[in-house]
Amino acid sequence: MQSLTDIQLIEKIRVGDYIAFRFLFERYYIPLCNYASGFFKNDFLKEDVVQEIFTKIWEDRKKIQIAESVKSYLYMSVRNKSLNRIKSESIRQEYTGNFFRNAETQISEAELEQEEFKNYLFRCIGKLPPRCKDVFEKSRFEEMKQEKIADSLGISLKTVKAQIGKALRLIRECLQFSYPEFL
Amino acid sequence: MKNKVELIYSILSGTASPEEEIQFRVLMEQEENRSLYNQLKKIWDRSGEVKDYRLYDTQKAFYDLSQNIKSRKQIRKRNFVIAVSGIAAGILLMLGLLKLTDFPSQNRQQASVAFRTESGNRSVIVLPDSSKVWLNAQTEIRYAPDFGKTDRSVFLSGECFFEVKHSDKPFIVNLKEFKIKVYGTKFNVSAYSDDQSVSTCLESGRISIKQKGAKELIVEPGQLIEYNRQKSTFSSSMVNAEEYSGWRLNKMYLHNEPLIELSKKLERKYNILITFVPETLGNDIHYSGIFSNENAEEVLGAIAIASGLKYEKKGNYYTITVR
Repeated sequence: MQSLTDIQLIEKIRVGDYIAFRFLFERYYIPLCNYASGFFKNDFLKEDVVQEIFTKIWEDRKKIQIAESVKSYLYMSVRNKSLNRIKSESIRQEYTGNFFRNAETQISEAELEQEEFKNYLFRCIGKLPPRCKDVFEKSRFEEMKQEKIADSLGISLKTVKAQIGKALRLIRECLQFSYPEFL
Repeated sequence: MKNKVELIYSILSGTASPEEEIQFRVLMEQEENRSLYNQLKKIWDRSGEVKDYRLYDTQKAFYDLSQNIKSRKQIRKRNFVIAVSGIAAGILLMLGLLKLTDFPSQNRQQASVAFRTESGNRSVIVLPDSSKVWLNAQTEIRYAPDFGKTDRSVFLSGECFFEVKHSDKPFIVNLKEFKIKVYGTKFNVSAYSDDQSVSTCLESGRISIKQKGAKELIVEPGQLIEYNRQKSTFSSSMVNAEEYSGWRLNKMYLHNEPLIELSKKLERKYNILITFVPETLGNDIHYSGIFSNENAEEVLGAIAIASGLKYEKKGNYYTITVR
Protein backbone atom coordinates (compact mmCIF):
# COMPACT_ATOMS: atom_id res chain seq x y z
CA MET A 1 0.00 0.00 0.00
CA GLN A 2 2.94 2.34 0.73
CA SER A 3 4.11 2.27 -2.82
CA LEU A 4 0.76 2.99 -4.41
CA THR A 5 0.34 6.34 -6.10
CA ASP A 6 -2.26 8.84 -4.93
CA ILE A 7 -4.50 8.02 -7.85
CA GLN A 8 -4.27 4.32 -7.12
CA LEU A 9 -5.24 4.98 -3.52
CA ILE A 10 -8.21 7.08 -4.62
CA GLU A 11 -9.39 4.26 -6.85
CA LYS A 12 -9.27 1.89 -3.91
CA ILE A 13 -11.03 4.38 -1.68
CA ARG A 14 -13.76 4.75 -4.26
CA VAL A 15 -14.70 1.10 -3.81
CA GLY A 16 -14.62 1.33 -0.04
CA ASP A 17 -11.09 0.33 0.90
CA TYR A 18 -10.70 1.91 4.34
CA ILE A 19 -7.06 0.90 4.63
CA ALA A 20 -6.24 2.79 1.47
CA PHE A 21 -8.10 5.73 2.96
CA ARG A 22 -5.93 5.50 6.04
CA PHE A 23 -2.79 5.51 3.91
CA LEU A 24 -3.90 8.59 2.05
CA PHE A 25 -4.67 10.28 5.33
CA GLU A 26 -1.29 9.41 6.81
CA ARG A 27 0.46 10.58 3.71
CA TYR A 28 -1.10 14.03 3.74
CA TYR A 29 -2.37 14.83 7.21
CA ILE A 30 0.67 16.64 8.55
CA PRO A 31 1.59 18.62 5.46
CA LEU A 32 -2.01 19.71 5.01
CA CYS A 33 -2.26 20.78 8.65
CA ASN A 34 0.96 22.63 8.27
CA TYR A 35 -0.32 24.32 5.17
CA ALA A 36 -3.55 25.24 6.96
CA SER A 37 -1.57 26.83 9.78
CA GLY A 38 -0.84 29.58 7.30
CA PHE A 39 -4.51 30.53 7.69
CA PHE A 40 -5.14 29.93 11.37
CA LYS A 41 -3.07 30.40 14.46
CA ASN A 42 -5.38 28.07 16.33
CA ASP A 43 -4.21 24.44 16.28
CA PHE A 44 -7.63 22.98 16.64
CA LEU A 45 -9.07 24.87 13.67
CA LYS A 46 -6.47 23.77 11.19
CA GLU A 47 -6.72 20.13 12.21
CA ASP A 48 -10.48 20.43 12.14
CA VAL A 49 -10.45 21.72 8.57
CA VAL A 50 -8.24 18.88 7.39
CA GLN A 51 -10.38 16.30 9.17
CA GLU A 52 -13.51 17.74 7.55
CA ILE A 53 -11.95 17.35 4.13
CA PHE A 54 -11.04 13.74 4.70
CA THR A 55 -14.44 12.98 6.20
CA LYS A 56 -16.05 14.33 3.07
CA ILE A 57 -13.74 12.28 0.87
CA TRP A 58 -14.79 9.11 2.64
CA GLU A 59 -18.50 9.93 2.75
CA ASP A 60 -18.62 10.95 -0.92
CA ARG A 61 -16.13 8.37 -2.05
CA LYS A 62 -18.38 6.87 -4.69
CA LYS A 63 -18.80 10.14 -6.50
CA ILE A 64 -15.31 11.48 -6.10
CA GLN A 65 -13.94 13.12 -9.23
CA ILE A 66 -10.41 14.40 -9.18
CA ALA A 67 -9.35 16.03 -12.41
CA GLU A 68 -5.92 17.33 -11.60
CA SER A 69 -3.50 15.78 -9.17
CA VAL A 70 -4.76 14.43 -5.87
CA LYS A 71 -2.14 16.54 -4.15
CA SER A 72 -3.38 19.84 -5.60
CA TYR A 73 -6.96 18.79 -4.98
CA LEU A 74 -6.22 18.30 -1.30
CA TYR A 75 -4.29 21.53 -0.91
CA MET A 76 -6.94 23.49 -2.80
CA SER A 77 -9.65 22.00 -0.59
CA VAL A 78 -7.77 23.05 2.51
CA ARG A 79 -7.30 26.54 1.17
CA ASN A 80 -10.94 26.97 0.19
CA LYS A 81 -12.31 25.50 3.36
CA SER A 82 -9.98 27.60 5.48
CA LEU A 83 -11.02 30.78 3.76
CA ASN A 84 -14.69 29.90 4.14
CA ARG A 85 -14.14 29.16 7.78
CA ILE A 86 -12.51 32.53 8.31
CA LYS A 87 -15.37 34.26 6.55
CA SER A 88 -18.14 32.45 8.34
CA GLU A 89 -16.70 32.42 11.82
CA SER A 90 -15.40 35.97 11.75
CA ILE A 91 -12.25 34.98 13.46
CA ARG A 92 -10.15 37.61 11.86
CA GLN A 93 -7.99 37.81 14.92
CA GLU A 94 -6.88 34.26 14.27
CA TYR A 95 -6.00 34.94 10.70
CA THR A 96 -2.26 35.21 10.43
CA GLY A 97 -2.52 37.54 7.50
CA ASN A 98 -0.82 35.50 4.86
CA PHE A 99 -2.22 37.63 2.10
CA PHE A 100 -0.30 35.99 -0.63
CA ARG A 101 -2.35 32.85 -0.22
CA ASN A 102 -5.49 34.82 -0.54
CA ALA A 103 -4.48 36.32 -3.85
CA GLU A 104 -3.61 33.09 -5.58
CA THR A 105 -6.12 31.06 -7.45
CA GLN A 106 -3.87 28.08 -7.72
CA ILE A 107 -1.41 26.48 -5.41
CA SER A 108 1.98 27.02 -6.97
CA GLU A 109 4.05 24.02 -7.80
CA ALA A 110 6.92 25.49 -5.82
CA GLU A 111 4.75 25.79 -2.75
CA LEU A 112 3.50 22.24 -3.10
CA GLU A 113 6.99 20.99 -3.57
CA GLN A 114 8.20 22.71 -0.47
CA GLU A 115 5.39 21.31 1.63
CA GLU A 116 6.06 17.86 0.34
CA PHE A 117 9.75 18.01 0.99
CA LYS A 118 9.16 19.10 4.55
CA ASN A 119 6.82 16.19 5.04
CA TYR A 120 9.31 13.64 3.74
CA LEU A 121 12.06 15.26 5.75
CA PHE A 122 10.05 14.95 8.91
CA ARG A 123 9.44 11.30 8.22
CA CYS A 124 13.12 10.64 7.66
CA ILE A 125 14.01 12.37 10.88
CA GLY A 126 11.48 10.12 12.55
CA LYS A 127 13.37 7.08 11.30
CA LEU A 128 16.66 8.01 12.93
CA PRO A 129 18.04 5.73 15.63
CA PRO A 130 16.90 7.02 19.04
CA ARG A 131 20.09 8.53 20.43
CA CYS A 132 20.95 10.11 17.11
CA LYS A 133 17.43 11.49 16.74
CA ASP A 134 17.50 12.93 20.21
CA VAL A 135 20.71 14.87 19.62
CA PHE A 136 19.60 16.07 16.21
CA GLU A 137 16.23 17.27 17.44
CA LYS A 138 17.81 19.09 20.35
CA SER A 139 20.03 20.85 17.89
CA ARG A 140 17.54 21.70 15.16
CA PHE A 141 14.17 21.72 16.94
CA GLU A 142 15.16 23.12 20.27
CA GLU A 143 18.06 25.13 18.87
CA MET A 144 20.38 24.05 21.65
CA LYS A 145 24.07 24.80 21.37
CA GLN A 146 26.43 21.84 21.09
CA GLU A 147 27.87 22.35 24.55
CA LYS A 148 24.47 22.46 26.12
CA ILE A 149 23.45 19.24 24.36
CA ALA A 150 26.63 17.55 25.56
CA ASP A 151 25.93 18.67 29.11
CA SER A 152 22.30 17.71 29.19
CA LEU A 153 22.95 14.22 27.83
CA GLY A 154 26.21 13.67 29.65
CA ILE A 155 28.22 13.00 26.49
CA SER A 156 31.28 14.61 24.96
CA LEU A 157 31.23 17.43 22.46
CA LYS A 158 32.93 15.10 19.98
CA THR A 159 30.07 12.64 20.34
CA VAL A 160 27.50 15.39 19.74
CA LYS A 161 29.21 16.38 16.49
CA ALA A 162 29.47 12.76 15.43
CA GLN A 163 25.80 12.09 16.15
CA ILE A 164 24.62 15.13 14.21
CA GLY A 165 26.91 14.22 11.34
CA LYS A 166 25.44 10.74 11.40
CA ALA A 167 21.92 12.16 11.43
CA LEU A 168 22.62 14.28 8.36
CA ARG A 169 24.05 11.30 6.51
CA LEU A 170 21.15 9.04 7.38
CA ILE A 171 18.53 11.65 6.52
CA ARG A 172 20.21 12.22 3.19
CA GLU A 173 20.29 8.50 2.48
CA CYS A 174 16.66 8.18 3.50
CA LEU A 175 15.61 10.99 1.19
CA GLN A 176 17.71 9.65 -1.66
CA PHE A 177 16.22 6.22 -1.24
CA SER A 178 12.55 7.15 -0.95
CA TYR A 179 12.32 10.59 -2.47
CA PRO A 180 15.31 11.09 -4.77
CA GLU A 181 13.75 13.88 -6.79
CA PHE A 182 13.98 16.14 -3.77
CA LEU A 183 17.70 16.24 -3.59
CA MET B 1 32.33 10.59 3.92
CA LYS B 2 31.90 10.78 7.67
CA ASN B 3 34.53 13.44 7.97
CA LYS B 4 33.19 15.42 5.04
CA VAL B 5 29.75 15.51 6.55
CA GLU B 6 31.01 16.51 9.95
CA LEU B 7 33.04 19.28 8.38
CA ILE B 8 30.04 20.55 6.47
CA TYR B 9 28.05 20.41 9.69
CA SER B 10 30.57 22.63 11.42
CA ILE B 11 30.18 25.17 8.65
CA LEU B 12 26.36 24.97 8.65
CA SER B 13 26.13 25.35 12.41
CA GLY B 14 28.67 28.16 12.45
CA THR B 15 30.92 26.30 14.83
CA ALA B 16 33.84 25.76 12.48
CA SER B 17 37.35 26.59 13.59
CA PRO B 18 39.63 28.59 11.28
CA GLU B 19 41.38 25.38 10.22
CA GLU B 20 38.06 23.79 9.38
CA GLU B 21 37.10 26.77 7.29
CA ILE B 22 40.19 26.32 5.18
CA GLN B 23 39.54 22.62 4.83
CA PHE B 24 36.04 23.43 3.74
CA ARG B 25 37.14 25.76 1.01
CA VAL B 26 39.40 23.04 -0.36
CA LEU B 27 36.55 20.60 -0.24
CA MET B 28 34.25 22.89 -2.20
CA GLU B 29 36.61 22.93 -5.11
CA GLN B 30 35.20 19.61 -6.17
CA GLU B 31 31.84 19.40 -7.89
CA GLU B 32 30.61 16.33 -6.05
CA ASN B 33 31.37 17.95 -2.72
CA ARG B 34 29.46 21.07 -3.68
CA SER B 35 26.48 18.94 -4.54
CA LEU B 36 26.78 17.15 -1.20
CA TYR B 37 26.97 20.50 0.58
CA ASN B 38 23.80 21.75 -1.15
CA GLN B 39 21.90 18.67 -0.17
CA LEU B 40 22.98 18.84 3.44
CA LYS B 41 22.27 22.56 3.55
CA LYS B 42 18.75 21.96 2.31
CA ILE B 43 18.24 19.34 4.99
CA TRP B 44 19.74 21.52 7.65
CA ASP B 45 17.69 24.60 6.79
CA ARG B 46 14.38 22.83 6.36
CA SER B 47 14.68 20.65 9.45
CA GLY B 48 14.29 23.70 11.66
CA GLU B 49 10.99 24.36 9.92
CA VAL B 50 9.48 20.96 10.57
CA LYS B 51 9.76 21.06 14.30
CA ASP B 52 6.04 21.89 14.66
CA TYR B 53 5.23 18.66 12.88
CA ARG B 54 5.86 16.91 16.18
CA LEU B 55 2.68 18.47 17.52
CA TYR B 56 0.68 16.36 15.15
CA ASP B 57 -0.29 12.91 16.21
CA THR B 58 -1.40 11.40 12.94
CA GLN B 59 -2.52 8.15 14.51
CA LYS B 60 -4.73 9.87 17.03
CA ALA B 61 -6.08 12.18 14.35
CA PHE B 62 -7.07 9.22 12.23
CA TYR B 63 -8.69 7.55 15.19
CA ASP B 64 -10.71 10.72 15.89
CA LEU B 65 -11.64 10.90 12.24
CA SER B 66 -12.86 7.32 12.22
CA GLN B 67 -14.96 7.93 15.33
CA ASN B 68 -16.45 10.99 13.70
CA ILE B 69 -17.33 9.13 10.53
CA LYS B 70 -18.89 6.35 12.56
CA SER B 71 -21.02 8.67 14.68
CA ARG B 72 -22.22 10.58 11.66
CA LYS B 73 -23.38 7.27 10.26
CA GLN B 74 -25.24 6.45 13.52
CA ILE B 75 -27.12 9.72 13.42
CA ARG B 76 -28.37 8.90 9.97
CA LYS B 77 -29.36 5.43 11.10
CA ARG B 78 -31.26 6.76 14.10
CA ASN B 79 -33.34 8.87 11.79
CA PHE B 80 -34.83 5.63 10.61
CA VAL B 81 -36.79 5.25 13.80
CA ILE B 82 -40.38 4.92 12.77
CA ALA B 83 -42.65 7.32 14.53
CA VAL B 84 -45.93 5.54 14.77
CA SER B 85 -49.08 7.44 15.27
CA GLY B 86 -52.63 6.31 15.48
CA ILE B 87 -55.27 5.62 18.02
CA ALA B 88 -55.92 2.35 19.82
CA ALA B 89 -58.07 0.75 17.19
CA GLY B 90 -54.72 -0.17 15.94
CA ILE B 91 -52.30 0.12 13.18
CA LEU B 92 -50.72 -3.21 12.64
CA LEU B 93 -47.29 -2.90 11.17
CA MET B 94 -45.91 -6.01 9.60
CA LEU B 95 -42.16 -6.12 9.83
CA GLY B 96 -41.84 -7.27 6.29
CA LEU B 97 -42.52 -3.71 5.23
CA LEU B 98 -39.43 -2.44 6.86
CA LYS B 99 -36.31 -3.08 4.91
CA LEU B 100 -34.03 -1.75 7.60
CA THR B 101 -31.91 -4.88 7.60
CA ASP B 102 -30.84 -3.98 4.09
CA PHE B 103 -29.10 -0.92 5.42
CA PRO B 104 -25.64 -0.77 3.82
CA SER B 105 -23.05 -1.11 6.48
CA GLN B 106 -19.31 -0.75 6.30
CA ASN B 107 -18.38 -2.41 9.53
CA ARG B 108 -21.14 -4.95 9.48
CA GLN B 109 -23.13 -3.24 12.22
CA GLN B 110 -26.78 -3.84 11.69
CA ALA B 111 -29.46 -1.30 12.36
CA SER B 112 -31.78 -1.78 15.29
CA VAL B 113 -35.46 -1.68 14.57
CA ALA B 114 -37.38 0.79 16.65
CA PHE B 115 -40.96 1.95 17.04
CA ARG B 116 -41.99 5.09 18.79
CA THR B 117 -45.21 6.77 19.71
CA GLU B 118 -45.57 10.43 20.50
CA SER B 119 -47.78 12.04 23.08
CA GLY B 120 -51.40 11.48 22.43
CA ASN B 121 -50.82 8.41 20.28
CA ARG B 122 -50.94 4.71 20.83
CA SER B 123 -50.31 1.82 18.55
CA VAL B 124 -49.84 -1.88 18.06
CA ILE B 125 -46.99 -3.71 16.43
CA VAL B 126 -46.15 -7.30 15.65
CA LEU B 127 -42.70 -8.62 16.38
CA PRO B 128 -40.86 -11.04 14.08
CA ASP B 129 -41.95 -13.95 16.28
CA SER B 130 -45.62 -12.90 15.96
CA SER B 131 -45.80 -11.55 19.49
CA LYS B 132 -48.06 -8.52 19.70
CA VAL B 133 -47.08 -5.35 21.49
CA TRP B 134 -49.38 -2.44 22.26
CA LEU B 135 -47.56 0.82 22.72
CA ASN B 136 -48.98 3.55 24.89
CA ALA B 137 -48.15 7.20 24.34
CA GLN B 138 -44.54 8.38 24.46
CA THR B 139 -43.13 4.93 24.20
CA GLU B 140 -40.19 3.54 22.35
CA ILE B 141 -39.46 -0.10 21.85
CA ARG B 142 -36.32 -1.37 20.14
CA TYR B 143 -34.87 -4.68 19.09
CA ALA B 144 -31.83 -5.85 17.15
CA PRO B 145 -32.06 -7.55 13.75
CA ASP B 146 -30.95 -10.82 15.32
CA PHE B 147 -34.14 -10.91 17.37
CA GLY B 148 -35.27 -14.50 17.65
CA LYS B 149 -31.91 -16.03 16.92
CA THR B 150 -30.90 -17.07 20.43
CA ASP B 151 -33.44 -15.06 22.34
CA ARG B 152 -36.12 -12.47 21.78
CA SER B 153 -34.85 -9.31 23.38
CA VAL B 154 -36.54 -5.91 23.31
CA PHE B 155 -35.64 -2.60 24.94
CA LEU B 156 -38.43 -0.52 26.33
CA SER B 157 -38.93 3.01 27.45
CA GLY B 158 -42.53 3.91 28.12
CA GLU B 159 -45.50 1.60 28.44
CA CYS B 160 -46.40 -1.53 26.54
CA PHE B 161 -48.73 -4.40 26.82
CA PHE B 162 -47.28 -7.65 25.56
CA GLU B 163 -48.92 -10.74 24.17
CA VAL B 164 -45.96 -13.03 23.84
CA LYS B 165 -46.11 -16.15 21.72
CA HIS B 166 -44.82 -19.37 23.19
CA SER B 167 -41.37 -20.29 22.01
CA ASP B 168 -38.30 -22.06 23.33
CA LYS B 169 -36.39 -18.83 22.91
CA PRO B 170 -36.85 -16.69 26.03
CA PHE B 171 -38.54 -13.34 25.54
CA ILE B 172 -36.79 -10.60 27.47
CA VAL B 173 -37.98 -7.06 28.08
CA ASN B 174 -35.01 -4.90 28.95
CA LEU B 175 -35.58 -1.88 31.11
CA LYS B 176 -32.97 0.41 32.54
CA GLU B 177 -33.32 -0.97 36.05
CA PHE B 178 -33.98 -4.65 35.47
CA LYS B 179 -35.20 -7.08 32.89
CA ILE B 180 -38.33 -9.14 32.61
CA LYS B 181 -38.16 -12.68 31.37
CA VAL B 182 -41.27 -13.92 29.71
CA TYR B 183 -42.51 -17.45 29.25
CA GLY B 184 -45.45 -16.96 26.89
CA THR B 185 -47.94 -14.69 28.35
CA LYS B 186 -49.84 -11.37 28.62
CA PHE B 187 -48.50 -8.59 30.77
CA ASN B 188 -48.15 -4.87 31.07
CA VAL B 189 -45.00 -2.92 31.70
CA SER B 190 -44.96 0.72 32.64
CA ALA B 191 -41.49 2.22 32.53
CA TYR B 192 -41.64 5.91 31.89
CA SER B 193 -38.39 7.65 32.72
CA ASP B 194 -40.12 10.53 34.45
CA ASP B 195 -42.23 8.32 36.69
CA GLN B 196 -41.33 7.55 40.26
CA SER B 197 -41.75 3.86 39.74
CA VAL B 198 -41.55 1.19 37.12
CA SER B 199 -44.27 -1.41 37.27
CA THR B 200 -45.29 -4.58 35.61
CA CYS B 201 -48.55 -6.39 35.96
CA LEU B 202 -49.14 -9.93 34.85
CA GLU B 203 -52.47 -10.84 33.34
CA SER B 204 -51.83 -14.47 32.46
CA GLY B 205 -48.92 -16.80 31.95
CA ARG B 206 -45.64 -16.43 33.77
CA ILE B 207 -42.91 -13.84 33.93
CA SER B 208 -39.93 -13.30 36.14
CA ILE B 209 -37.97 -10.23 37.04
CA LYS B 210 -34.22 -10.28 36.99
CA GLN B 211 -32.10 -7.51 38.40
CA LYS B 212 -28.32 -7.62 38.30
CA GLY B 213 -26.95 -9.27 41.40
CA ALA B 214 -30.40 -10.24 42.71
CA LYS B 215 -32.39 -13.44 42.64
CA GLU B 216 -34.94 -13.96 39.91
CA LEU B 217 -38.40 -12.93 41.09
CA ILE B 218 -41.25 -15.05 39.74
CA VAL B 219 -44.49 -13.17 39.14
CA GLU B 220 -47.94 -14.78 39.33
CA PRO B 221 -51.00 -13.74 37.34
CA GLY B 222 -52.79 -10.91 39.03
CA GLN B 223 -49.64 -9.68 40.65
CA LEU B 224 -48.53 -6.11 40.28
CA ILE B 225 -44.84 -5.49 40.87
CA GLU B 226 -43.75 -1.95 41.47
CA TYR B 227 -40.16 -0.84 41.56
CA ASN B 228 -39.46 2.39 43.40
CA ARG B 229 -36.67 4.13 41.54
CA GLN B 230 -35.52 6.22 44.43
CA LYS B 231 -35.42 3.46 47.00
CA SER B 232 -34.48 0.76 44.48
CA THR B 233 -36.98 -1.60 46.07
CA PHE B 234 -39.66 -3.87 44.70
CA SER B 235 -43.13 -4.19 46.16
CA SER B 236 -45.87 -6.53 45.17
CA SER B 237 -49.65 -6.54 45.39
CA MET B 238 -52.55 -8.50 43.96
CA VAL B 239 -54.71 -6.53 41.59
CA ASN B 240 -57.20 -6.81 38.83
CA ALA B 241 -54.64 -7.04 36.08
CA GLU B 242 -56.97 -5.89 33.36
CA GLU B 243 -57.13 -2.49 34.95
CA TYR B 244 -53.45 -2.01 34.35
CA SER B 245 -53.70 -2.49 30.67
CA GLY B 246 -56.93 -0.55 30.47
CA TRP B 247 -55.23 2.11 28.43
CA ARG B 248 -55.45 -0.16 25.44
CA LEU B 249 -59.17 0.26 25.56
CA ASN B 250 -58.80 3.92 26.28
CA LYS B 251 -59.62 3.35 29.94
CA MET B 252 -57.66 4.81 32.78
CA TYR B 253 -57.93 3.09 36.17
CA LEU B 254 -56.69 5.13 39.08
CA HIS B 255 -56.04 3.71 42.53
CA ASN B 256 -55.25 6.40 45.02
CA GLU B 257 -52.93 7.93 42.55
CA PRO B 258 -51.05 11.09 43.46
CA LEU B 259 -52.22 13.89 41.26
CA ILE B 260 -48.75 14.49 39.98
CA GLU B 261 -48.50 10.94 38.60
CA LEU B 262 -51.98 11.21 37.21
CA SER B 263 -51.13 14.45 35.47
CA LYS B 264 -48.22 12.76 33.71
CA LYS B 265 -50.55 10.08 32.41
CA LEU B 266 -52.92 12.75 31.20
CA GLU B 267 -50.10 14.65 29.55
CA ARG B 268 -49.03 11.62 27.60
CA LYS B 269 -52.49 10.53 26.68
CA TYR B 270 -53.80 13.87 25.52
CA ASN B 271 -50.58 15.58 24.54
CA ILE B 272 -51.06 18.45 26.93
CA LEU B 273 -48.96 20.14 29.55
CA ILE B 274 -50.18 20.42 33.13
CA THR B 275 -48.69 22.72 35.75
CA PHE B 276 -49.62 22.90 39.39
CA VAL B 277 -49.68 26.14 41.33
CA PRO B 278 -48.36 25.67 43.94
CA GLU B 279 -46.17 22.78 42.76
CA THR B 280 -46.78 20.78 45.91
CA LEU B 281 -50.42 20.46 44.93
CA GLY B 282 -49.47 17.49 42.78
CA ASN B 283 -48.24 15.46 45.74
CA ASP B 284 -50.87 16.38 48.29
CA ILE B 285 -53.89 15.14 46.41
CA HIS B 286 -54.66 11.54 45.47
CA TYR B 287 -57.26 10.30 43.11
CA SER B 288 -59.12 7.08 42.51
CA GLY B 289 -61.46 6.45 39.67
CA ILE B 290 -61.96 5.29 36.13
CA PHE B 291 -61.89 7.36 33.03
CA SER B 292 -62.77 6.14 29.61
CA ASN B 293 -63.22 8.05 26.43
CA GLU B 294 -63.42 11.44 28.08
CA ASN B 295 -61.30 14.19 26.65
CA ALA B 296 -58.71 16.09 28.62
CA GLU B 297 -61.03 18.86 29.67
CA GLU B 298 -63.66 16.47 30.94
CA VAL B 299 -61.08 14.56 32.96
CA LEU B 300 -59.58 17.65 34.48
CA GLY B 301 -63.00 19.05 35.11
CA ALA B 302 -63.94 15.91 37.04
CA ILE B 303 -60.74 15.98 39.04
CA ALA B 304 -61.14 19.63 39.82
CA ILE B 305 -64.61 19.16 41.18
CA ALA B 306 -63.68 16.10 43.18
CA SER B 307 -60.65 17.71 44.76
CA GLY B 308 -61.77 21.26 45.28
CA LEU B 309 -59.45 22.62 42.62
CA LYS B 310 -59.90 24.64 39.49
CA TYR B 311 -58.07 24.61 36.21
CA GLU B 312 -57.30 27.11 33.50
CA LYS B 313 -56.76 26.17 29.89
CA LYS B 314 -54.82 27.96 27.18
CA GLY B 315 -54.64 25.78 24.09
CA ASN B 316 -52.81 22.65 25.27
CA TYR B 317 -51.58 24.22 28.49
CA TYR B 318 -53.46 23.59 31.69
CA THR B 319 -52.82 25.17 35.05
CA ILE B 320 -54.33 23.67 38.17
CA THR B 321 -54.80 25.85 41.23
CA VAL B 322 -56.72 25.83 44.46
CA ARG B 323 -60.29 27.06 44.28
